[in-house]
Amino acid sequence: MTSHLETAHDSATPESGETPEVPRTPWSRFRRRFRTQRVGLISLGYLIFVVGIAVLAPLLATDSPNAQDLRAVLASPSGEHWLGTDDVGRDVFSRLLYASRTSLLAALLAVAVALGLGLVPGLVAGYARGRIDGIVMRIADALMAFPPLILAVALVGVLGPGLTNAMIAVGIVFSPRFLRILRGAAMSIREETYIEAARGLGCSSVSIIGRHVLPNVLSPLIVQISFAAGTAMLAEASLSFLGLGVQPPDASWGAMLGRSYRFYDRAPWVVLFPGIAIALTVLAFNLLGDALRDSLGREER
Amino acid sequence: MIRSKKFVAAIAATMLVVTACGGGSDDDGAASSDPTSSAAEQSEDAPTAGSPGGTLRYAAANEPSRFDVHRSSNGYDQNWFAPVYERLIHQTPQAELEPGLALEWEFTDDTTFVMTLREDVSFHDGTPFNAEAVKANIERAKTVEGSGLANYLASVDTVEVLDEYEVQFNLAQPDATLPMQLATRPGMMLSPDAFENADLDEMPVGSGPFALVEYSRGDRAVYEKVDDYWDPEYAQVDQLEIFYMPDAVTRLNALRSGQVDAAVLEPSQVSEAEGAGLNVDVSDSLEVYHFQMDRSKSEFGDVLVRQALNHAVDREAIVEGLVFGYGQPTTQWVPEGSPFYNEEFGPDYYPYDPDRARELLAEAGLEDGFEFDAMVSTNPIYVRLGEILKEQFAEIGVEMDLRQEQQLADAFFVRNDADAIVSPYPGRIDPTETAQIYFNDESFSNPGRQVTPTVKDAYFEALIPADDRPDAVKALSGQIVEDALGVPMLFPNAILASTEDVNGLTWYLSGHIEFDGVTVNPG
Repeated sequence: MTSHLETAHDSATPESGETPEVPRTPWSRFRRRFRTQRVGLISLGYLIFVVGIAVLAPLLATDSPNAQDLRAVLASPSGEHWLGTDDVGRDVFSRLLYASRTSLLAALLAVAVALGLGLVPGLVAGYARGRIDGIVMRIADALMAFPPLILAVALVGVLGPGLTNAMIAVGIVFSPRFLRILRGAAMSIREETYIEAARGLGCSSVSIIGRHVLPNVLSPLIVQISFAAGTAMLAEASLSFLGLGVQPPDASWGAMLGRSYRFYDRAPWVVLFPGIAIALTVLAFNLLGDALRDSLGREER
Repeated sequence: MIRSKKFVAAIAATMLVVTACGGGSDDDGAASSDPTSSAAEQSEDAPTAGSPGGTLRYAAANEPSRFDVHRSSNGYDQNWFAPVYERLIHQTPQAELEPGLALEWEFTDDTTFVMTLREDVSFHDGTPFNAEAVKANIERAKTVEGSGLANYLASVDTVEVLDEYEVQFNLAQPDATLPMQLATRPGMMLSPDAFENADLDEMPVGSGPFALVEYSRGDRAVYEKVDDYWDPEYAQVDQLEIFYMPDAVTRLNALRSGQVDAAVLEPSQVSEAEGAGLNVDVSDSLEVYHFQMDRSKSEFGDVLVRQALNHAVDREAIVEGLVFGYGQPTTQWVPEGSPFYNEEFGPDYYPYDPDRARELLAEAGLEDGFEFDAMVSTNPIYVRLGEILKEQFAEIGVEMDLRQEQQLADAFFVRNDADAIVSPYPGRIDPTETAQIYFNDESFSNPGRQVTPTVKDAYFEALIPADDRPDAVKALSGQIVEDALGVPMLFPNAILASTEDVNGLTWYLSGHIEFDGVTVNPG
């Protein structure tokens, strides 16, 4: 990442790149700016904490996430079950820890699929313009014309329920968003003088896109990834709520919420804790995205 | 235990309704035959009989597949049909048969069934009801394209009109379950003049106590009382509205906010409903939650394996954890108290015993267990049951890969997409009907078409309408358990809640609701 940013810096501001010792690398500039973003720092810290929990779930859990006690269903929080038990007597605390793995993995998978589908067509369309751009954008428009969740539900209907399929579907739905951002960025960059220079030197289009355009679209891309991760997590929650995502007895926060809202009156904790986890994590992704947007990119004075 | 107290109250309430309705019918044997009815009346504060008139609004959990009864594909449709379609034979809440459009019926021999019909009845469109109408209905039910009832009438070869009000069914093979079938959808009579109506799926023409006046799919059906129905006691309210609300939380909220007067609820909601000041009836039901195997797949062809699975489930714990004690554990497909219940096969016939289960698996040569894939519908209560089973099977080394499936019946019965399913069965009072549905080598709902020779013999024995038939049926019921053709687990109670303005609402053992004699005081 750092090297890309450096390239970006070099290419974007060639006059400062001339000096042999660089007093401010883009990375240090980013750090300087990001340090002032308190909300962003807190969000980042929280997300690192969640990832830590996901990784260490087996060590932290007080119980097996799938061990049932049918004679103690919907038990209230106690010393034995810190956050109570769910509707088949499983320990909510332990499930919450394990579910963070599923939820994070789901977000990661959806973003990876969206990026995989959007990256190359977006850059090519933005750089090449013309007929290629027209074709790619019409396909993207068609995808965007559907309400996102409905399209995802339809895709899961075709692919079959399951976490992987659900997140592939969400990735497909998200891909036009990445595509458009990359295309827009590529379109403005292709007019820059250093691109013209590269073209003039006889670089091929592929190498120009790979070595000069791509590094320069990283800033908006990183911001978009952070936002998309939050939205993907929410989409996973929605699909699992509908029974199309993670399959029982595995848990994600959305699946935990989806199955337990009907017991809200008897046992509020089965709804409350996964709900809080989703809300905080999605919020953190979004706030982090805001902070990244404010900290990345060129200085405009 | 709280449950048993409510249970008694529910029985008492049921008895009151039966007593109240008995007077209006030709045969009040249902009320007098039950020894507890008078006691119940004395011990329970008799609800003050409501005044006639007004509108009753009820929230149902299922919506009708379509209103054309012959093409109806779902047993739960009956709730929506009963007000508008009159049946040849009625049933009491205890699933005993009573005269409906037919006053008398009998088997004159093993394959001949004769009915004497009620006179002076006409359909809501003015078409007279007679033997010709019965013949036309049965023939259409058997032959109409997309028939949902042909399976239930498979034994009927021809229908003969003996005279205006006498009709004879000639059967291809003995079928003692026929009268019971004619008390459900196959016995519902549709006006022959309406057979070709283009709007039949939305606008039924029957001869029942109510006529459908408005239906919007996915929302509600509005019925109005008809004036000249033969039993003036049946329809007490002027208007009846049935709402479709698939989500139990929505139903309870609608009840609490006064949007509906009565609703069917789930066991987990009893305390909340009672806390909100609603009347909650906990009733027995024939519905069974069961694990159904395709016995032609995985290791399910081996009786030892099936018995092992029966020993692997902790039925008591499931009743407690899944339905909060509102249910009864079972290994049989009919509840205790049914005339066809076989006492030798009680709920403890397959006690929870993982060690015994592992021994049986070892005997079958599967010391290391085995793996299979199963489906469950997306309804949360069945998903929970699926998870519970997965865990309990894992205990004996059997791995069940579980996935949710929206269209479970199609996926399992038509496409054979998995080795087993976890599902509810609406239930039948007569195990012969259950065998016809699940344990017959021709059944649609028996995807592997596999059945043990012992059950097959017992089934044909039970179909013969002889005097000692109850014994034959009990033998069949026991044989199904012995051969472990499935893993029935529990009879969940039906939970019916209503505001205090509603009187006389009762759940029928056969798993449906009728509005016979129900009153509602204007709020």
